[in-house]
Amino acid sequence: MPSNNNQAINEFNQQVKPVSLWADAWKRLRKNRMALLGLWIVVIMAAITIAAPLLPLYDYTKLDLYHSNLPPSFRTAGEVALSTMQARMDKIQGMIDNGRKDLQPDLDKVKADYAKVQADMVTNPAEKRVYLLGTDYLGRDMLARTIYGGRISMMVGLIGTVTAVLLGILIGAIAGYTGGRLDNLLMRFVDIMYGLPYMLIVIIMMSMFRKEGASSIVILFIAIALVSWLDIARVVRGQIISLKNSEFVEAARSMGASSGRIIFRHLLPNTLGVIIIFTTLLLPSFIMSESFLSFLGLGVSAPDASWGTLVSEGVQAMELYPWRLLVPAIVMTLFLFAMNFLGDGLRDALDPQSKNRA
Amino acid sequence: MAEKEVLLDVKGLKMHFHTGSSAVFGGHKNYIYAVDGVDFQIRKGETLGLVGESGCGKSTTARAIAQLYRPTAGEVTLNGKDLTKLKANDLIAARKNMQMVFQDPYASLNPRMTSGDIIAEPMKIYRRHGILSMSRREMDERVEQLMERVGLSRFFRNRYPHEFSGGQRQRIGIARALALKPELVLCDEPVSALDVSIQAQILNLFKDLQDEFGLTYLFIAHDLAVIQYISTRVAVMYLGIIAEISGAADLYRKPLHPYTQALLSAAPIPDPAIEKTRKRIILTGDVPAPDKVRTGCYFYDRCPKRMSGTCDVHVPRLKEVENGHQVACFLYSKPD
Repeated sequence: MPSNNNQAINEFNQQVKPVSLWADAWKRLRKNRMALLGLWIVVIMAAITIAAPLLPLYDYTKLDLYHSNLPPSFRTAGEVALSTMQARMDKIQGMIDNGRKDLQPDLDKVKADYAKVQADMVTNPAEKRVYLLGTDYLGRDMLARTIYGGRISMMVGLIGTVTAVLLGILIGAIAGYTGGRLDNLLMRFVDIMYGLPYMLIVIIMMSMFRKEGASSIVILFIAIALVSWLDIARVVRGQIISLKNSEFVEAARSMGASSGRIIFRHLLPNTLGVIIIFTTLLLPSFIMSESFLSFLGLGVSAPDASWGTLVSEGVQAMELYPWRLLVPAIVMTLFLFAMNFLGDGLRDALDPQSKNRA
Repeated sequence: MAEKEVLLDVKGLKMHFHTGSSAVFGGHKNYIYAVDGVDFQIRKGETLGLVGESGCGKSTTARAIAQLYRPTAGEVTLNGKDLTKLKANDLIAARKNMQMVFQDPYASLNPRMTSGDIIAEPMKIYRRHGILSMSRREMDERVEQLMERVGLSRFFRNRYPHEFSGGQRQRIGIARALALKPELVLCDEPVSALDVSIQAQILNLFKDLQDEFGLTYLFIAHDLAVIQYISTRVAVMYLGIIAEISGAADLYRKPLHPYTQALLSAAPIPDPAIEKTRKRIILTGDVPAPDKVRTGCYFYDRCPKRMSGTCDVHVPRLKEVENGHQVACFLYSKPD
């Protein structure tokens, strides 16, 4: 006989009001410090990228060839440019002294640039800029480019994930729950989509629609959304099939619950763990595939940037100008790490059985 | 007994499952004859125990009555309405009077819902269908009242199923079945998964609830002692049909069907002295697979008293032999 005294109340709940799955999950998520850290990082990065146009950033498309490849620094651009030019002049001078007489024109050119920048120092406000994270090979601010790049990368990840989750869950749940002919039809369609070479589809779409004036980013979004839901649909379908004959579903059916209620109240909450894990794995993969497409020249085109394009540009010069690779790479990794911790924490938080471990 | 009105009337209930042949290429179809013509009546306030070995179709019968499976043939009449012919909406309304308690208390509760939500769910569903009008507060009160009634503290309502023991979970399942104040509760082996000590508690709870709310039970079990304890009448199932049906005391005192005799002889007696003298009727062979249409007695292959020429060519029907004691066996009646 369970005791009817009130000993056990305090350990779990003082309140007698019903707690929803989400309120309960939030309570548990708050106890998971890594997940909370991840949440904060994601929120802050998202807030910065959303607010990018309002922030005091330099124009991320503006070229300034005198400022190309400046290292990260708190000093003004002019000073940094002068000291890098000074270093280069010293280096060329040394080579000339070692018998490379043919380098004299290069030295003259750098000297001319040096004189120009020195003259500009007072008059040109551009020389007063501070490039906290350095510049790229066209003298564009890496900070601004990384933040604006984050906009596109996060958008790609978000759109891919949202369509994947919405479409994938819907189609997977319908196929799994209904079974039979509809299931067969939907899953064979998924198989066909799987069979088509993804890159080929994207390339064909790009070449077909780009001419009609649509922005290449929009086509990229469509291309990613088109294939993103396939995996989730399969996973959800499998989960639903394994759950739909369990007794609690039968119990719900014997109470007269509608199919919609069974799917959304009973089946999907029990597949949430897998869906969340899968989503956190998908999000980085969308960001990666966007960078791959951009690398091939099919994704984002200049002067727009994404983390993918920034990294691929940075790789080309990583020995001489490592900040051009490190800045976007670190930011991207940090975001993906935070995303993974958050996903892991969410999975635990949404599983009532992990309550005691959290 | 006969003066009480019939609550549930099952006539010729058949549940055949289609197996084997491919849906795309056609071919011949195979069937499992899980329930193959079951007739019985349950009167208000009584408990019909349904007993039989594994795979004889007990649970399928309960599910077919609950319309979880649409029966292949037959009628299931509850309060004068044939459930098999009702449209979805009318079925929901009619089913309010008939709730189920499931076997496995670990599988029958959604692990992501709190016990309070689980118990409130039938009320929420029927409120949404517009059949039940209850305010949220009334539902809350009813949940707490039900929890206390089945022996759970109302402070446990925010707990998840995994925080309860097996017996407590089964109490949640019972509270859920009672939420809509049904007349008939279909109990599908509700104590089989529990420890013996807990079984007794739950059985007593079932009895108390029956007295208090005037419930009618269809109680499925494979444990003869459990059935004897809880039932007013007992039906013995074998291979998808009912072999014998009778008042509980009558059946245990004087089993008629050879299968019932064998079944009862297999039950151990909790007294070593008597247990030693117990004579077992050992049946040869296993229960045959219910995958073909039978032309003779369903028990023919294993029956120690079979009569060839009669039992293998005619199918015995349930016939009343004594007052309220029906048996499907040619030892007691001639083929039609």
